[in-house]
Amino acid sequence: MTAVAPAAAGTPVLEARAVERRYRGGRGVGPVDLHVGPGDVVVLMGPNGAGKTTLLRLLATLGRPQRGALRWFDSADPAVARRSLGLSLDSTPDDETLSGLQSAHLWCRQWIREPSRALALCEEALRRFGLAAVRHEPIATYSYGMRRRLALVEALAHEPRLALLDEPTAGLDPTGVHALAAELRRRAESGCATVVASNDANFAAMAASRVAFLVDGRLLRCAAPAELLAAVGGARVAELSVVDATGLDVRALRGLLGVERVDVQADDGVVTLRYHDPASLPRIVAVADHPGGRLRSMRLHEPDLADAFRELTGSPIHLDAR
Amino acid sequence: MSTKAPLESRRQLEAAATTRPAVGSQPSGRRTRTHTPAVAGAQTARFHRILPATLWTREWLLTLGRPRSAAIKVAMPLVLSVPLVSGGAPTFWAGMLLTVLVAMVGAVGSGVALARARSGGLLARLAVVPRAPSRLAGEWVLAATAVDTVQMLPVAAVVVASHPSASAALALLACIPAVLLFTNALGCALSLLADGPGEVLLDVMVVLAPLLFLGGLFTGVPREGWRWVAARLDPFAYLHAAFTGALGGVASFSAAEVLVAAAVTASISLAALAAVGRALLARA
Repeated sequence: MTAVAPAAAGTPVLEARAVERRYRGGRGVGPVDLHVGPGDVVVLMGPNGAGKTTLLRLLATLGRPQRGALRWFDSADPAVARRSLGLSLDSTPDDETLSGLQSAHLWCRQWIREPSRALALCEEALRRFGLAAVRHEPIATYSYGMRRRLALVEALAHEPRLALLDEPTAGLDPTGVHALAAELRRRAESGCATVVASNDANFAAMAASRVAFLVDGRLLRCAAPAELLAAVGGARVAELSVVDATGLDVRALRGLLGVERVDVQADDGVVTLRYHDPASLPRIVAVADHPGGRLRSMRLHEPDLADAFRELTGSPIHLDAR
Repeated sequence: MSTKAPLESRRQLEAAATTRPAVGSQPSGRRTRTHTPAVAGAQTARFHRILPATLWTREWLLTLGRPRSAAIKVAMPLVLSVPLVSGGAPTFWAGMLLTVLVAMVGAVGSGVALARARSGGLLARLAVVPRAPSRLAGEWVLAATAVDTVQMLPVAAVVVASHPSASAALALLACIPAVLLFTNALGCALSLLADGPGEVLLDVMVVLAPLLFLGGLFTGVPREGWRWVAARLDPFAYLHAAFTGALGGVASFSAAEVLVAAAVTASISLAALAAVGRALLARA
């Protein structure tokens, strides 16, 4: 099967209009509007149960929306989408007796008819993801992280014009995350689009051209990372780990001069606050290290997309499914 | 269905063998197992240079990639059939046991494998490849049927050797793959109803037991009434007859009837597979 011809500039790779799919109990996704053009890397962020995977499956032609319309490469026919689609779900290849190259080749050949080209594409993708040295070894000998890399090779080796990746950084070491970000940038330069479901704020900042914030199945914001980060611009973030967040005097923290916002995740014992003035830090420590709260550690960092998510949606990104 | 040799081409293999890994491409991370033992190294290396392009090839590679498991799969039916045949067990009951064995091998094997493939996300990935679902499912089930047939061939050989008869042997050798195709397709269909591999086992038992009964395996085939009609429509009745005939007993159906039934069973199973394949990937 040959890949679809490159799209003309401006032709959307993917277009979702008021797409909705809800399960019994109300969980699911929609209505969502999403436009993905050539070269776009869109990262969907949202807490567990926000609908990221449901949306990704709909975009991958796995199931139909109950309402709304989907178009791929300017066509509503899912068969057109499948001609140049790459999909990686949050699972790993489990054909344990096959080698990495064999498994990658099997999937690549579903799209690429010419055996020598398929082999060359697989070899190249395995090299990019750091699996070249072990490509002839059985998957049974691979670590979890290596299997995750192989799953990405299988999704991307045939150079699909649209790739859909669910939690691709899960299980990857920092080198793997950087390799993936580089791969998505390389794809973007050649006009291929990627939609990723991931809550890895650092990865999103490295790879995304746009980040979409999903909460309760609704897409609240979709913009370039810089635009989203501007919402928390100028501030710095202190992440406090306390022994007992319930015993902490949150009101006193909020009342400190220069402290802008305080969020408490009582179950995890994590308190996140934004401050503008470094002179506030001793006062923050003094309040947090009170016998009622007991400060365990404190981490200071620049605001990232998780902080932007919190600012713009009003809820933390690491939220248990409700 | 592709029956060509799994090697893509000699040139490919040479290319694969000569490509060198990139410097520093060895990823970090703990291995879950040690590397392939050196003893089997050369053979394993050759095996891992065979490049699959179809589910047919994949199924064979997965089977041959586990030699111990493959040996047990072939030995297990022999362990049952050799004592039956050499001990002179009544042909009706020996035929019944062997028919049940064939039914279970096909239905359980396919049903469990597909249920696992669904829960592991494999079916979802297959659902987005640009090929007809019926073709994909057909390829998978035909490969599984071929593997099962190879598994049952030694049993057929033992049975045929006990009472050599060309017509009985032909009927048996035609009927075994046909019924295996039927049971594999049945397992495929039942995997649609089940939520997991464990549930498939129960579903298979619930469906196979009445089919085996209607085939007259437990009580024989009555000469009249609705059960006579039911038995004539039941592939297991013909396989039972084929085993019984090949063991030298008095079969309910002639070898010619068994041959015709095998052809009809295989045709209907293939047609059913097309419909089941669509449903199978739609539920991925």
